[in-house]
Amino acid sequence: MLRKFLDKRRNVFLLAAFAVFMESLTSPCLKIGSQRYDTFSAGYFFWFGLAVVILGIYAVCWQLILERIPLTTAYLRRGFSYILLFVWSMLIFHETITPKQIIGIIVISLGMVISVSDERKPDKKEPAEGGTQEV
Amino acid sequence: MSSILTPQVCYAAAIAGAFITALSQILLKTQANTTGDKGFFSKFLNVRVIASYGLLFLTLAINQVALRYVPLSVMPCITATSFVWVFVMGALILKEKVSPRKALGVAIIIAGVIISRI
Repeated sequence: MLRKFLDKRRNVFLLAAFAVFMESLTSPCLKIGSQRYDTFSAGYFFWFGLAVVILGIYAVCWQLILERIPLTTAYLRRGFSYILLFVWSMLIFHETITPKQIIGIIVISLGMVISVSDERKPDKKEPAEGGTQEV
Repeated sequence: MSSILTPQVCYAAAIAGAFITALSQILLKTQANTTGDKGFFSKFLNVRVIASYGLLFLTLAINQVALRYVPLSVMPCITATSFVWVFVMGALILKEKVSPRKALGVAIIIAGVIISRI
């Protein structure tokens, strides 16, 4: 059933979007643990554990995605979570975002979009067994 | 413990974490490339997959230590460096196709990291 669901390329990208969202939540969990609790206290480990659980869900999604698109492409897409991370850093930690950081993240995202746009080619239907070498 | 954890050490730890992340991704992909029509669980339960998740776990612990001083908003810049490592190792180890467009994309990502840190 899962295999059939992921035969549709659009569904693979939906799963990738979900994975990106989950991944963006791990660093805020870690920072809450290390900033608001003593090192190696119960609270410290609670937030670490929560991050591990979130990352576990992300990792299973990620493994399924990796079998269907080349790593360089898949990995670049992950970078969209950085934009979400900016939102969390302002909302949760009230950090100041400088103009340079905003320009930097736009340039980084631009680099990602340029790389991702490389996918719009006929070599889309790549069998999982074939890996990426034969393209 | 707290005397060792200076801001400089935290930044260095975050950068090391980014490199280890890239390593674990390459390890995952080498396994994903060899997985054919075997069962669902054999995809997750083998040495390379477990080792790469072990590396991710290690990165997580390193990052938590690092985040004590590294602002969350600076983390994207540091973790973006792992893109470069994955790109290079993907081409060298996995022999993935390096298209001019992907190379340009990675170059722009590097420029973005430099812009936000100068």
